[in-house]
Amino acid sequence: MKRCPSEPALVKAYAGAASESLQAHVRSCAGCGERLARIVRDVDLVERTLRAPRPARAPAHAPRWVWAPAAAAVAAAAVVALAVATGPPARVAPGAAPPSDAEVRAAVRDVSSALFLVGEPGAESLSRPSSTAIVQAALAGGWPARSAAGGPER
Amino acid sequence: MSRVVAERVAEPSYDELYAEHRARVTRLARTLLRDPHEAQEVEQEVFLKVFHQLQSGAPRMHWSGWIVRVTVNACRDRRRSGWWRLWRDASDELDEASLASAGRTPEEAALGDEVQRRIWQAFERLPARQREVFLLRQVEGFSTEETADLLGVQVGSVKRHLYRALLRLRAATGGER
Repeated sequence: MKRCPSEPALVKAYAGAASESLQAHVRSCAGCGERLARIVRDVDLVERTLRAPRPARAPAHAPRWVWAPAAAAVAAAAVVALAVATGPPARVAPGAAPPSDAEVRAAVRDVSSALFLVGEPGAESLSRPSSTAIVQAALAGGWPARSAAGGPER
Repeated sequence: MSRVVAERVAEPSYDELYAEHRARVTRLARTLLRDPHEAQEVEQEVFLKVFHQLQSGAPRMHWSGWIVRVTVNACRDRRRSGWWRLWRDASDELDEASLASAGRTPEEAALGDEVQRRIWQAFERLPARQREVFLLRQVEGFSTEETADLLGVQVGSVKRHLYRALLRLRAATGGER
């Protein structure tokens, strides 16, 4: 007695893609006929569902990940813009001597004064560049130079 | 020209063609496309082509096959041009509240709605060719040979696509895989 086919083989028979011997077995086997009838019922349900109007979708809402491509594009654009704006990193000329301890201390003192002495006694001695000078200096790529009197150049 | 399309029949008027084929075109477009508005546009596009075909005085043809072919091709073009929309909509959920549930107990309705939802989701996840084959062969009732002719593929290819589609869709009904 020939072994009954698997479920996928039966579906294949239903689709007309099975061998002639398998189709002959399905036609002659009561058990396979019953299983095939179940397949026909399932397919009929699919057909009826697809013939009916498609159910409406849930109210429009953005899927959680719909922002991902836009965010990736913005991030990529930001990285490119940053790279273009900053240019190549500053290089120390080969053979240049490293700053001395005194120079480093002076620089730290200047920064510290600028940060913490504003509005306090002694702050007026610091150079206070005007807003115009700041803009001009920023456009020129540096900090406003001090005038001979210690004030900002105008 | 293919066998289905080339079969000669009496030349109908535009109104007759519209009345006879509109329901099928609508059904095909709405099943193959996710967006009902796009389906409507395809419907208009198809009948515009029908109109031009009639106006051009082209040889008589088997309109049923020709219209189905034009509809399937139009839907395919839409899917290609709107790939990003399909991708975007991939996680959309069907609105279960809108599924028909008249005349059933709440339990039956819930069970039926769930099965319908699964069937539609499974159908939408099928590759385009499997969807087309299943629709033409099982829903529209074309023979395997006619389906192959309409889609421009081999008969054996139709059988293979149908087999794969049946396996997946049947699993969605709760039947064995």
